[in-house]
Amino acid sequence: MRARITVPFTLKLLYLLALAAFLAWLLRRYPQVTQKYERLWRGEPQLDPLRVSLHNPLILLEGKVEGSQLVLRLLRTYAAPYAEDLLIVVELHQLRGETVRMEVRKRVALGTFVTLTFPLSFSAEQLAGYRVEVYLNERLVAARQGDREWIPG
Amino acid sequence: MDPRLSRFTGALPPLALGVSLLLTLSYLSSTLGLACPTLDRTLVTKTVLAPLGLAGALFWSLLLLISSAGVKARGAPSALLMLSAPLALLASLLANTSLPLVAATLIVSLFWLHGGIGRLPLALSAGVCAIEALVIAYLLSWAAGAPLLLSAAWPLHFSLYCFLTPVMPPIVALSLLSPLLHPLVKGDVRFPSLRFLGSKSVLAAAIGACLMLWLVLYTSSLNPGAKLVGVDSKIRYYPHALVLLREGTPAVLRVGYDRPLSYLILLWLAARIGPFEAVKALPLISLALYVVACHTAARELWGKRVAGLAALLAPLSYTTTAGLFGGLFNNWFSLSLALLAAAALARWQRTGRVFWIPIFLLLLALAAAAHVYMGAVAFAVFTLLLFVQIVVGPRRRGAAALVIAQLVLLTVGLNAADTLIGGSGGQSPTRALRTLTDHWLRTMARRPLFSAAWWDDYSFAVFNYAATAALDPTVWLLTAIAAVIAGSRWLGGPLMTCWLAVIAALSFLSPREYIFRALFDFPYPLAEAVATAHITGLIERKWGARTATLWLTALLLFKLAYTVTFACGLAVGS
Repeated sequence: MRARITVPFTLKLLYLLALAAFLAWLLRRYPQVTQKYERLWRGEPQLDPLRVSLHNPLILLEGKVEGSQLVLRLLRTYAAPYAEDLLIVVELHQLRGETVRMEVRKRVALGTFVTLTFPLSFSAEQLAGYRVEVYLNERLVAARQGDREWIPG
Repeated sequence: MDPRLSRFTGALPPLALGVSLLLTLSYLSSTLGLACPTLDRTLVTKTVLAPLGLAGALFWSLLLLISSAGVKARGAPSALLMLSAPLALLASLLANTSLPLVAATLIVSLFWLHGGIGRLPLALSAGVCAIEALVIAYLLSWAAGAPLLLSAAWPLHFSLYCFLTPVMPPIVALSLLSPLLHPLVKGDVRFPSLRFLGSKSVLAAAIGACLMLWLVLYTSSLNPGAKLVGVDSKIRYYPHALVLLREGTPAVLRVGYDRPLSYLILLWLAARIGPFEAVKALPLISLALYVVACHTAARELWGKRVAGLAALLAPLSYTTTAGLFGGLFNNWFSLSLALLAAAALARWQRTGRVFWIPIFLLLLALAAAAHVYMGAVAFAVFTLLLFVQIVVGPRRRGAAALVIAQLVLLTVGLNAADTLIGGSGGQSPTRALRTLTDHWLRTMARRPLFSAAWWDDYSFAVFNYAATAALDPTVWLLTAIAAVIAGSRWLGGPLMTCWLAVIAALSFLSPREYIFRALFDFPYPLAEAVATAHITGLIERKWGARTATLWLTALLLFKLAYTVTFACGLAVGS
């Protein structure tokens, strides 16, 4: 059984306009909060699947010194799904010739961007360069060497 | 040619075009800077880029070549199209970008459209079926401890819905308000003739899906120690099961003051199979009962075919993802009982047999005893529905009598519960509801409706609270479609509208931590089944049974891949 009420077109139009105004009022503040959640759906727009080797299980996207820490950005691709344990070895070379070695073990999910920060135990001005090696299940999958500003990716 | 071989070769071009279109979607989504939030141990953001490389580019151009063969064009256009694949490959490799392949895919699609607009949904459905089958195979092999090298298909699954993620909170809110659009829509729901949906094997397949999800959670290599899954499993049910075992039945009212029936069952289970195993069994019981309840209610309200669809969709809905994440098994149990009450009400309305009225009242009382908050929601929904019936529906006098009977039941039930529970040291239902109401009123005063602070809370509930559980857009879009098209078809339409009205009010006015629990209170599979059946019916009439079956399979596989992805992420993080 149906309980439909027939309404004239003008009334429908008025209803539609009122509804549109209500929805516009309802949604007006939403754009303000999207910035807070943007990190959940923001990716890496400059990547092209033909340009970067997404068959490599790990890509070192970026490395730079920010204040008193070294920041690395990595992408764990969808390749080698059986490999889970990530070992990142960072060697920091100082101007006076000493080397500081740091290791981080981490399980990184497939297809995710990871940002890692390594605190510098000495003044950032003393940093001459660094080498980053990444192992997945004890196999070397990525290595980069750079100066204090940027690891060419 | 052998007819089977001919059918196989005929299916290849749409399949190839469908996969090419998904590769294009993945590329475009990634170029727009989109990624996909997913539960994988924790809430992570996954890239939607498929690993291509030289082999992938070759594969894509091969897909284009095959799909060009399916274009209904003669002479020069056909030859040019066949050439587009190698040319696009060459240009892509030379320029080191996927853009030429994307452009070639779009050109081939345009030619496909020229042969009839229905061919594109066919191709897309075929592509989605193929990709989702690979994703499910990968996920199940991962759960089995030997992941197949099919993970490259996963980003294509994410690219299917990631572009809607930024607007998911408004989509959720608007889907709850969708009955407002019903007065503007003409026409009625029309269901497909697909007979297999009415068979009992569909119900068996749905129960099989429940079992598969439970196996992923508790017996897979992702959760090697079979640790408890779900927030409440760890912080509520297991410690409470120990207390119940130690103190016996009197503790049911004290510890489980807001859910005595559920705790009585938990005590019974814990005494028989042990507290840990009892808590592990809860998700399977909740899932299976929900499937049966959705099937029963949908059969009474909409008929056999929608019932089959509702059963298939029950383990693949928001209720499952949010329920498993939060461990909301008592809420889930109560929702199932409320659905069975709806079935009893529908049976009374259809047959006029008074026998179903006490059954309805009993099931409603049991729903409240299983979880007082969910029971209160069900009570509000049915009262609202009966008032609507008194105004516009059939059996008006019976509905008025039933409202009075409900009010008597409420008064007697609340009085008895207050005396019993208050006497045993637990918080009485009246006090619990008063505390909750006070909390809500304070929140409403502090946070104006639809303000920036309100949207912040709502977005948090959608994105974070049950990490990505609410991000399957099909749940909300299909619910909205069902409310718009079926809003006045007695009894299912008004029931759905009343339920959505109550849920909308609750979720809009709730404090931040209660929004996702309020959203949980609606039987989404019922609405999804109505909308899916309607859309499948439309496709069947317009483009034939083959396209309709393929679209339905693609939708179900997408939802299965989404739910299994969620279950795997939950199991691995347990």
